[in-house]
Amino acid sequence: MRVFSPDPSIIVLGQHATTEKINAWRTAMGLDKPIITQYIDYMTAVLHGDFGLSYFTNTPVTAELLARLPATIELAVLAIIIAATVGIFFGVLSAVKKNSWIDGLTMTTALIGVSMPVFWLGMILIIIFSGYFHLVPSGGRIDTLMRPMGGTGFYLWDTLSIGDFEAFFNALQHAALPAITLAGYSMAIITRMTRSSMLDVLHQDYIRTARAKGLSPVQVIGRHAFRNALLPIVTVVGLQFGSLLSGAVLTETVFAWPGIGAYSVECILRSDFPVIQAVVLIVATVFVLMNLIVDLLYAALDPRVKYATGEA
Amino acid sequence: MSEEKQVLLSLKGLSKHFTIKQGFFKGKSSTLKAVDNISLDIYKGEAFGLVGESGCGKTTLGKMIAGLYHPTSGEIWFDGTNLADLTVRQRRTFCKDIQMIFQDPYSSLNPRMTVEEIISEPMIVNKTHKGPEIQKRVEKLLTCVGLASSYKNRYPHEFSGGQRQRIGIARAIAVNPKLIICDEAVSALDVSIQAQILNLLSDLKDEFGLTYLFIAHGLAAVKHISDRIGVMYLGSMVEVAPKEAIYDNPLHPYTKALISAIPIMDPNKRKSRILLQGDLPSPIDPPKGCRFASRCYVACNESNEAPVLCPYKGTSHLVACAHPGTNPGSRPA
Repeated sequence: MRVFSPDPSIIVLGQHATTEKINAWRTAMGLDKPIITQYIDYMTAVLHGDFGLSYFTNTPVTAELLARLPATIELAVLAIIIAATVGIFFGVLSAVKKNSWIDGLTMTTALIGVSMPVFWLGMILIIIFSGYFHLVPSGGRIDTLMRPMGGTGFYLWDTLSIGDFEAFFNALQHAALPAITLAGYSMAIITRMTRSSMLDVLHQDYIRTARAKGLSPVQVIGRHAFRNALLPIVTVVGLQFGSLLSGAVLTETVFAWPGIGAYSVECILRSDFPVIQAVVLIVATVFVLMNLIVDLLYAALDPRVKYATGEA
Repeated sequence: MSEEKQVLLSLKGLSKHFTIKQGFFKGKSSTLKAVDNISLDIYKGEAFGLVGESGCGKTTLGKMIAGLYHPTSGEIWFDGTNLADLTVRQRRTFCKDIQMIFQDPYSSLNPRMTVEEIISEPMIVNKTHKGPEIQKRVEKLLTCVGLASSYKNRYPHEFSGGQRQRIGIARAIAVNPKLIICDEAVSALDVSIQAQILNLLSDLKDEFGLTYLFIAHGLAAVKHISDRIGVMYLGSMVEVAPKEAIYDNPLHPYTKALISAIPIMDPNKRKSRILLQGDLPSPIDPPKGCRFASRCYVACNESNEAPVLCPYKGTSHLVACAHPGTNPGSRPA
């Protein structure tokens, strides 16, 4: 990043800045020190909760990101809900109706979903639903006039909590396309994972036992098959949520969604190092945290997994 | 068996054929006759042993009776109802009368349910018992099969193979079934455990008045528990007789070969073993006429009609052979 990016000092100070000015700025920002020293200084600051100042706005990076994080999280949560519901539903369906036309259609769609570039899907959706049918707006989070004051920054939550349903639906309309776009890839992955996991479980002997007990097919699938197939599905949903935050970069740019993804693209273009470093760090942390949560969920879902306690 | 015995289960011309699609575009299809035209009566309170080598259709037959497969043709009369005629939904109401114990106790129990959930589920689903009764019954059943009732909150992976099979048995008898199909119920267990489970099964039979269809591939286990034995070969029944008759006087050449393969402890009494020639023909395209003809030492090959199971000299010993009782080397009777 530091090697390939254009020198931020020129972007900040302008093309015609004098060498003295540039050198003074570089010293002020600590860019004249060796990279190792810069790294140590940065990490020390980060551990104290200080992500530094943005080169451009001279505002603390923490504040900038906190203002944008709710938008991204809202989008990612919406997307993972869509991806998990639709993905698990169709995954189970195509496993149960294996080799039927439903299965074929679902798997083909999933394959397309996995292969489709996110930004392209986003643009196509905009052209169809926004440009052609005029059903939903093509960008932004909410109509300016309806923007809720204060609150958490999660517009869907804010509008709903004050009972402003008009604004809520307006926000939902804005979020629909980006969320679907972002969900697309994860949905396809979750569908495929659910299908293979369900197929695996459906071939187990205890499924046959369950049928011999006299359970109806719905009971067999719901109570015996799905509960056992859940483990890999939970893993994939968790990992997908982690990658959704980073996947939001493209989606947010396409839909002008004011989250950290679109912001980080802006900052990359103008070599705003402190912001980029902070974004990378946050995304990586979320990813690791999701992995941890998934691991902990295993214990809750599977009675065979018990983490060692004092006595064990 | 004597006439006053009541028939519990009666199979009439039961068949199960599977269509197998082959070829690149699955255009070519052929039929696998897993079970072909089997007729059989099982009496109330008896233990019927069903033997035959791998792939002869024993398990398919058991699954059809348990309702896991729908027969291609034929009738399954159980307590005055033809199960083969029923819709899937109607058939399910008979699950409380016919239960199955499976071969592999390691994989046939849902790893995510406690023993109590496993045993109580059939009672809840089939609505045979209610509320607090169920918990009491789970404890009673566990004691019946020789497990401590305190085990009910454990998961299957905490048990050994024999214990797991006991759980499977408790699960099967929970709904007070009339018929239990034991599909190789002991073959996955150690020999010492096998004996324990077999003894448990015969105790339970007396205690609950059960009828068993005992499927196995070895004659030894079947001998221990069965009253009558049926021998299957390549999808059809070749001989049905009381246990003693099968062991002392086997009539079908295939049964003779099977019996001669049982090791005898006394070295002075060793019989000559009948070795069958050739391999098991494929059930996809079984031989016309007598199915055993290709491996039979009599090799009569007299007709294209498959021999039907009929009483030998007016006894209850049924055999499907044109020349029953012929020994190797002797001329056909």
